[in-house]
Amino acid sequence: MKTSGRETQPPTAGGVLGPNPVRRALRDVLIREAANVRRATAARIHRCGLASDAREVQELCNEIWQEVARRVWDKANEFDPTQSGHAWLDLFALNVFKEKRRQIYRDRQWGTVADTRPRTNSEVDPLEDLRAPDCFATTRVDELLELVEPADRELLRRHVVSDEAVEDLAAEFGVSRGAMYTRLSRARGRLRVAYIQLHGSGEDD
Amino acid sequence: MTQENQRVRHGRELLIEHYVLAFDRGDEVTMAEVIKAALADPTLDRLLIEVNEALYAETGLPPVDDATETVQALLREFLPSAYESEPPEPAPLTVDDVARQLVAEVAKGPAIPPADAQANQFLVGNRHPLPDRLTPDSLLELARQLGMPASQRYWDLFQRAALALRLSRQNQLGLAAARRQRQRRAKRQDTQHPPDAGEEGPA
Repeated sequence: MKTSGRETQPPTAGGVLGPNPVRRALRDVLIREAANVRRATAARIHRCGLASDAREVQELCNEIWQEVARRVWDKANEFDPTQSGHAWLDLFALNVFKEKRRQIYRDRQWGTVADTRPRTNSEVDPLEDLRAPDCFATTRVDELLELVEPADRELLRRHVVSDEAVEDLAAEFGVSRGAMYTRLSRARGRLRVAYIQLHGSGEDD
Repeated sequence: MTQENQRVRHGRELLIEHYVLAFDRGDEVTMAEVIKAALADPTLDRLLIEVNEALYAETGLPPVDDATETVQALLREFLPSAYESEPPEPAPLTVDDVARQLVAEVAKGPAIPPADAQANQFLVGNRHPLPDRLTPDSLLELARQLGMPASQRYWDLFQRAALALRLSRQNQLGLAAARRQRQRRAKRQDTQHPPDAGEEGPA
């Protein structure tokens, strides 16, 4: 860990340095959510290729988490204990990650992050067609699902058309609920891209 | 499932989709938007945690150190103030504190007339709290509550002693806070510049 991340200011004014109830709650959130935030950060580090191996990922992750803890502590007065502590921490983590990514890319002289995936237009939602009450009366649903690979097709048909619960699908496929949400999200993304490629985004009209 | 529930569920799924696709293309702005939505939606927040776990599992990295003790140790080291206990709130000053102070002053010299000294002795051990504001009027009210006759000179001395005690206590609190701050700073410097046997000391 770098020493630059140490707190430099007394956290509260007026000479009372100890944690008040909000700070105590925040400290508990930091302890409780550290693993979740570090996991999310590590996945982002890995995805953007900021570290080459597990050890580097871990080090960068620790560095980011340490900075997050410091910033969070400095902004303790803005913490609202009625809101999700995890989401609050993760927003800080995302910001620090973004700064770190820029710095690393700058150091490597890579310029901007390479975006290898096609952009999707979130305004276009072919799933609305799948969810239409009369979709089974037409062949439209099959036409739409033909746009994606069989694996995606099966998932989309069962979840979006037949309304099977994510939990049930996850159990059947032997994956976690989070993994099933991830698969479904990507399947929808691919359907959306295929749909836009076929029909256009509507922005040119 | 009611239509409302279904609408909410579809809304969450759409947000999760935005999050996953934003993750895939390294789009932190969209990710932040979804996380902001999770601030006030515990279900979405829980789903994001699970999705992040799945995304982490995809990396093939070893499990993240989940040890609470490690995290606590890091917090103790880098955020020591997160563990400092608040200084105990000093008990409020009472009539007894001032009366004892005046007894000590009597011992040094004849500061109080003998009749008042006797009345003061009567107040030793009285745990009645002092008023927040030590004005002549508030002390007059205090004297009435205590039912203790004493001269105006005595109450002047009482007021002065009470103010001095209150000031002294505030100073002690301030000094204690400053001392803790100094100790923390010194500890930090020790950690940043640990003594090195090979390093030359000051001439």
